[in-house]
Amino acid sequence: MQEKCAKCSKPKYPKDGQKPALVKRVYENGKPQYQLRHGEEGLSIFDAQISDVSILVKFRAGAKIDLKSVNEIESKGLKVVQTHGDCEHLQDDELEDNHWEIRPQPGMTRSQFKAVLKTL
Amino acid sequence: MLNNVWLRRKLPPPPINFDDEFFRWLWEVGVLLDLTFFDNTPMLSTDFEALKHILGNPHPELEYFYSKCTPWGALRAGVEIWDRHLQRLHQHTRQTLSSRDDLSSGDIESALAVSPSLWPVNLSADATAVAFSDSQGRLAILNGNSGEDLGRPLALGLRNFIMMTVIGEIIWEEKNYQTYAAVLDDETVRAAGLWPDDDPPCHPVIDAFESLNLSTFEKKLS
Repeated sequence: MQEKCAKCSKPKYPKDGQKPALVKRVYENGKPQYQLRHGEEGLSIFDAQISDVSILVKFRAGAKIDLKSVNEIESKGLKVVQTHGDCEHLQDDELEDNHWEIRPQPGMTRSQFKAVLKTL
Repeated sequence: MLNNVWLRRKLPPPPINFDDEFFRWLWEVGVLLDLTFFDNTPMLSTDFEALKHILGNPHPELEYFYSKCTPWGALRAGVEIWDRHLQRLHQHTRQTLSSRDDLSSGDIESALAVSPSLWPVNLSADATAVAFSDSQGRLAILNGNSGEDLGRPLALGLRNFIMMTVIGEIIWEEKNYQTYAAVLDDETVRAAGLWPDDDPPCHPVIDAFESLNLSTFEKKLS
């Protein structure tokens, strides 16, 4: 049975097992593309099948998208996991269902995680 | 302990006042620690006016903070997102407090109606923070993420909250916690928030947090 999100009661992992080949990361000019915000346990990314327009319409003007393969991310020792999206804030079914995160492998320290993210 | 943190990590010590110099320090420490501390883009004036329309006038510290940072980062519809988040927060408070025998639904609605507005400080999956101004003019910062820590007191004043956030990230590296909730539970991190033990700020959201955690504690004991 599908596990449900405690916040919005929708299926937590609608695409479990169907990892995308390519993912998109939203960033802004002049800011690092793959940098954690304080308190974040992972970096938000979207399945690349979602159009740029569908993503960017949810972000402020000037936001850009970087495309990367999951193989490249995982080859650095990182994990790509589905996290159901930030359902409290995204408020878009398509984005939530196609939201993934770059996470550290078990045992990786936060410093190591940040160092590897810098190489993406 | 806290003074040692800056020496140990070879980081510049924080300025004492909550002013432009403090924010310059915050951005510099962010670069040194490879992190984005808050979103260093001023809130759009249209968003600020829309927030005031919903919530009233902000505490002066919040108004200054919004001139430096946008609580919802690069998300576009921040005010709408916050409005919905507030509705969920109030619903959670109603539901949690309704399990208390000493409160009627009328008591709960009255308490919510006269309670100070909750303002956004930071919105993210793991580190949402909300603020309110209490009857003594103090700015209280609470955990705003859904779950058992919703409404948990974090800090008194924005400077203390930001300090708590920076120290939390340093401690996270040193102690290798698995979650941010565990970081916020760290004794040193909690101490940085300077939340008062005596005469703390009051809000129904805090009451809900305490009720929920007391009942969880009682269940564990039984």
